[in-house]
Amino acid sequence: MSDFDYRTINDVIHSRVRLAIMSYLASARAAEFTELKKVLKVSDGNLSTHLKKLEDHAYVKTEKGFVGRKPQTMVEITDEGSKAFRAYVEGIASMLGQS
Amino acid sequence: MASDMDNDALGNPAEDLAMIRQMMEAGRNRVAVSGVHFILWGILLTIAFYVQYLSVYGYLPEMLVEIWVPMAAIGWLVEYYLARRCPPVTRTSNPAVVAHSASWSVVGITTLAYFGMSVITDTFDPKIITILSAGLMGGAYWITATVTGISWLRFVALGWWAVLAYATSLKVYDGEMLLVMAAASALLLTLPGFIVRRLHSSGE
Repeated sequence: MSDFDYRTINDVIHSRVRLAIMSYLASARAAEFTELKKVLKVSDGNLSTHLKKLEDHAYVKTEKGFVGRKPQTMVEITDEGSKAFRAYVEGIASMLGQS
Repeated sequence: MASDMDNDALGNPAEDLAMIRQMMEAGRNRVAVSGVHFILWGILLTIAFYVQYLSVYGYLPEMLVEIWVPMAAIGWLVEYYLARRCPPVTRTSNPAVVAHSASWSVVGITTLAYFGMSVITDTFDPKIITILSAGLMGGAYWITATVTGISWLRFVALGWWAVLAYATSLKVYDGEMLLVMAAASALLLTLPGFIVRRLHSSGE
């Protein structure tokens, strides 16, 4: 029996898409919107919705720019996002009795 | 469109951890290769080798430094411009990006250093610079293929190593090799650059 308290689960990260976004960005640090869409296999709207939620909590920041004449949106994990992600993963590991 | 992420509910913690590991692995291996650098250097090298070929065979005045110094200057200036034009976050690095960038920096810096030193000391040997650059470019392509997962780039690496083997085997290294290098630059640098760019633009 682990001493994990389910009430400490971070609701912002606790969704399949947002967890996948945070996991990817935790190691990549930054990625293009289209790249995330391809890796996660989600629609534009779905990804935007989840990114908005992460951005509202300052876990990621987005920056719009241009490569040539083509618009590009970059998504970057913040320090706060990294900390929250680490805490979330530690919580799951604790639930499983892993350290 | 059905997708792996349509069901937003998380599974059991063990499945979640497995997904986290998988996504983190994908993130670690992320390298954004747009192909622009291949196109830039491919075009410059193709032109420079061809101009030097014309120079060696008397169609143009004799020149060496006069071709390669402007070529290198244009290349590095455009690289500088491209780096400044990128949004800051695209410059964020992870180990895969570092490996990819370092391998191509080694190609550029080593070749440039040999060229500069050998011209200054009057020991320039076209066979050595061909072997050096072809070997390093093969290695850089191999590393790029590995970290990006664009596996067909390994064939381009093999192509450069074939050029290396051919140049090494030549007993007489004459001006014809300049044409071979011009063709190699077009086929093994510019062309892959356009293909990578096309795939990158379409998000594949």
